[in-house]
Amino acid sequence: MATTLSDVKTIEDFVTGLAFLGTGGGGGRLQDGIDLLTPLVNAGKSITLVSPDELSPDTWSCSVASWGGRDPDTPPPAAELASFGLVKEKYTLVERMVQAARELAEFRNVRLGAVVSMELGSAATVGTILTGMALGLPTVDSDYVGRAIPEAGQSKMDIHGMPPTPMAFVDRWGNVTLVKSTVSAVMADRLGRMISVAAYGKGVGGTGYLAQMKDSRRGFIRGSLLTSIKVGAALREGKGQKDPLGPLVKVTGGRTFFTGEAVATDWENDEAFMFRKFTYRIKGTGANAGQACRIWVKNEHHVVWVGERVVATSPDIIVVLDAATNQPLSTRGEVTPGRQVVVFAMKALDPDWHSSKGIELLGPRHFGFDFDYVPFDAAVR
Amino acid sequence: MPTVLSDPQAIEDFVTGLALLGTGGGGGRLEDGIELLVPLVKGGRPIVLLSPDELPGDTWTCSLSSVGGRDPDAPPPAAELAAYGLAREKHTLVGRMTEAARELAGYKGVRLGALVSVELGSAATVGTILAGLELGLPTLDSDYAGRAKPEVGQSKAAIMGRSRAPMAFVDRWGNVSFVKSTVSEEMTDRLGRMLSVAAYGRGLGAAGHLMQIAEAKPMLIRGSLLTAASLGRALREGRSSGEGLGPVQRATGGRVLFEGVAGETEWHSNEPYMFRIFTYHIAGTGRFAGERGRVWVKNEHHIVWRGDMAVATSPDLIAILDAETCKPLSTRGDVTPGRPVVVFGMPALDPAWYTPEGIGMIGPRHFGFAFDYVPMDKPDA
Repeated sequence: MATTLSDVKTIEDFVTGLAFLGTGGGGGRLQDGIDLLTPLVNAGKSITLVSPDELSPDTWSCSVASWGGRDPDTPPPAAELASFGLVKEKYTLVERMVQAARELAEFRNVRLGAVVSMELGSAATVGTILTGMALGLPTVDSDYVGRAIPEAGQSKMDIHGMPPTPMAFVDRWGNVTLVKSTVSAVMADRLGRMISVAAYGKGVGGTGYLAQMKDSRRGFIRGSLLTSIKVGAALREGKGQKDPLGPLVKVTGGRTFFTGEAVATDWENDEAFMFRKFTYRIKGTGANAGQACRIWVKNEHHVVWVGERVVATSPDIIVVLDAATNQPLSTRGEVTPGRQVVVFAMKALDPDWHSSKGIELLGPRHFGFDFDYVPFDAAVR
Repeated sequence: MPTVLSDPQAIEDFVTGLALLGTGGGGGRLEDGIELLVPLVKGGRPIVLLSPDELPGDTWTCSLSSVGGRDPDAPPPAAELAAYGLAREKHTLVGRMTEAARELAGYKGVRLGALVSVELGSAATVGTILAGLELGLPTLDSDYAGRAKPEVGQSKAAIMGRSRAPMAFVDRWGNVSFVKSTVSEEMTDRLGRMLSVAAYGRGLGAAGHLMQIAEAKPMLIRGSLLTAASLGRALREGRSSGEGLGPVQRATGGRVLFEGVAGETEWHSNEPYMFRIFTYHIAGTGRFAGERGRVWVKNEHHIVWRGDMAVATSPDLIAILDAETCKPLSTRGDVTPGRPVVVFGMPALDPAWYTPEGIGMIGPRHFGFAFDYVPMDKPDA
């Protein structure tokens, strides 16, 4: 059965859950997704999500995402942009995603029947839904990761050996680049980043994983968009209660790893337009008084330390919440010094992530750390 | 009538002329082209160049070149390469050009009938010819620039408003991308450079200008490959007769702009894999004794100063020759401190370069200098 989201409260729950499962990334802040969807619903348009079972096995779909990293604080000089003919922006972020879907379908000469959100995240998933609406296509109630990820190639499709290429990239100026085939999915990601650098960032629409339902099914985290609504509702229900995260714990099976006050953000590099890489420092309060916590970020949260001990890592889902409002905080400047936060984690939505291939793709060693994935159930409480 | 180059002497003349017209760039040193072609000719394989008039008007052609810039002195760490799956090089430079032609034709579903070198230069033009031999396709006795140039978009085709995109890019590892459409030729170039950065340089094979010969004809610098052969012969004859640059001067209408001993090379850009941008400093000798010469380079030579006066600029052709052997020197480390050199200027091969569009595309202002093109035939001050 198709699911229809038609009221503002459901939309807010949905986007809040997406931001939560986006583990800090997923293309934008919570508010970005709400700002995009709410006007539509207020205008009487409803958001329809279809189950993969409702589509015929030969239905073509592609994944839709936005690509980018840390944009510099000041834009490049206008004269520099002008020397490349980059004078007037042609597309909004959603339009770039729409064009990227069109370009990929045209490149392979197929007719799309649905779009799939590459990952879960406020801007990423909402952008996919809006892309679908612009193209008259439904969005599947599934994604390829069950969370947000920093690199192409970190998806259940990749775990099952289906590459992201060919991929289409459309930047804000209207430049169109196709990556046909690469020696690895990580290389496709690298090419996508360089295309973002060429365009001076601010997000490139990127599509890939062009496949028919009978193949793409293997890579789906099924029902993950509806799961987001449940998570968002749990966060809303707990807000202001005595045990604000009680409902969330019930829905996700996760738990709080640290409670404290944000102290600082230590940036790792200044490579513009690529990734946002840094470490949060948090000092404990309440039960964690006297302790220190760190969270390592590459667009999303990937490793949590309490003191010198690693207590949680990707592929599990690590979230930083505002302690007062339960709002999931993004890695885009929301964890400001002084803010009271809760570090919460839950098991990855799909057991494939706990396979050796899944841990290899998204575990701490993938990011260059010399320690293993810390199994969620084994982690010290 | 097709032209056949079948003896090592003719090949050496040809490649020498290509290096002269390559104005320091064109993808490699003089020896690179000779080393590639001479074994073939010695093995009984003649090089055939066709006039565009010898092919039916609906023959599909594409232009070929290599794209790259300054490779760092030390290669990147093997572990970094391996993280992207870049473990084994798949294609030689000529192999990349061959694959780029195949990919572009495959992308657009056309059958190629001939290849065009995008520019004149030892490696670029010879690479095109070898790719043609690989693909069983003739190379035209024409190119799109009548010289070598640093950016992909600088050509007679661009002067006439024809973009080089869609372009196919193949790197040494075998990654394949297409730049489908861009807002400017400069942006096509920028995207190509970034794809080169992604591949850690060493040259990408690039194919573009996919056109039927009837459309291509007015955009070609006709007969430019045979012109290269005759200029190479003129250099050889001058050397053997003791007449020096006399024959090439008569053949080109060019003249000596400066003579001296090469001093330091002052690098302006260290951006790896992008452009080689620097200034040669030359201490005058003979009739230039006591004067200072400078040549500004962006992959190729573009501006010559005597003292503080600019005496020649692109689009005119600026070559640097070894003073003793008359060998054209490339910008890849051939102009070593202490080497006696001659800076030689010649008019561009095609009048299209002297239109406002042509001068705008490759004149000094294009490269960020605050002065206009300095006509070559202006008498010596």
